[in-house]
Amino acid sequence: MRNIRYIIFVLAAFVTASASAQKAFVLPSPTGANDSIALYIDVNQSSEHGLKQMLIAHPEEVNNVYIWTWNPADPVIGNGSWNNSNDGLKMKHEGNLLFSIKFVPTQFYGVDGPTFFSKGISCLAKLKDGNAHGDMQVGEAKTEDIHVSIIPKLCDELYCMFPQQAKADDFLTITYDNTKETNPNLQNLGDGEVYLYIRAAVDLFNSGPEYASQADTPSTPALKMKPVPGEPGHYKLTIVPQDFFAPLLQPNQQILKVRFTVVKPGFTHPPQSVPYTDYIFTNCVD
Amino acid sequence: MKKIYYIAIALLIASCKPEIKGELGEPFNKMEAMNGMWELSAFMQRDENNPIKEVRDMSEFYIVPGEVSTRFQFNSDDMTYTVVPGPGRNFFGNSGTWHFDNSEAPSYIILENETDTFEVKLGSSPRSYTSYLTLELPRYCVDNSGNSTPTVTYIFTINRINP
Repeated sequence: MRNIRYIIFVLAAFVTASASAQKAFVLPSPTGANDSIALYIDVNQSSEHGLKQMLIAHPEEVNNVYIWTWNPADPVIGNGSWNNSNDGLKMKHEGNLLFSIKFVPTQFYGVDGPTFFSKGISCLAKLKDGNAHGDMQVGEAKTEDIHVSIIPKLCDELYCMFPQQAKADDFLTITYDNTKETNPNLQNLGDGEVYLYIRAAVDLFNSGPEYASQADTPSTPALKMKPVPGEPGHYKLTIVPQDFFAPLLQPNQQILKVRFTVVKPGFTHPPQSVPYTDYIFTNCVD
Repeated sequence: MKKIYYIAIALLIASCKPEIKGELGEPFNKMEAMNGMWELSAFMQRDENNPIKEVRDMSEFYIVPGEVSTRFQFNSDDMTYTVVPGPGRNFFGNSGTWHFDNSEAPSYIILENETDTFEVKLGSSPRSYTSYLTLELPRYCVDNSGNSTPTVTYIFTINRINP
């Protein structure tokens, strides 16, 4: 027990030291492109140009630090000019020359998630007037260029769907994480016990065929979820919904969404309170 | 003076290079290179809206032990193609015509059947000695306003089995 505590302590100290040694980092990490994030720049770690020395010599300037950023794109509101940064880009002094600014990446930069994750953030910290304190002869009032790589937050839910957007005639993979199950009747399932009760909805009232009744689902091989190799407690099922439900659909009937939940042999949900998760197919005219 | 010296050395080195002999030969005919029977050997799905554009190997739905995989016959004489479906969903129809977007440096092969036209990205230009090709079939959602959004891309790897 003492050994485990020691290992945890060492790991925690290592993680803390790693984060604090970075010139810039984002929290939370892993990061969601549409989440509100905080970008931190530690000017104490800066080793080029004059901002660090200026802030030490002129502590009142800590309330006059701005971010200047150009990757993954210029900020939607614009950086402003070098001698007059945009007011919307002012950073908050967290203490000890650590500065932060909060934003939603996709809104702040006007880019989509994949672009944000592939390009990361390139930025520097500067005074509102990047030419200030020229008399100190320590260089411009800025840090060096800093790049922050982003670790994307992937799906971490009870059910994850791949792809994120699809039509009913695309391959759709539903992954179930039994370790996140809150229903005591379904916790700690074994590899042969995980079955997906699934139905199609063909109108706005969610009416449509079920592939098999809840009671019959655990005896229907096509609804058995397979273990995901290397991920204990994870199970998946892949279907092409339009083909999967074809024998149960009327001619020309289109699936608008699929509704599903996990059952196991000997356990079904009460019919009036089935905990469905929905996957809505992209509403396309073509 | 220094410049003249460097130029003289460069000319001296250039004069030592062996003279190129022989003909460059005819450029490869990409359409003829497409001719023949190809068989599906792998199938991947890329999620275009995933944060990292995740790609998953879905070959198990198309490559089934004991069953003949989907085959594509391309004919460069009459520019027709035929699909002999195997396991898995057939996205290309059973037959139709084909052409390249650019016959000398193709990036896309366009497959047309009675109901659909597919613009399929080529992983590389086909050559007569090419033993396999990748074909990327992008899928889009077009909304009521005509806006097109990528959803997934299916990546087919096909092997030449009959020239």
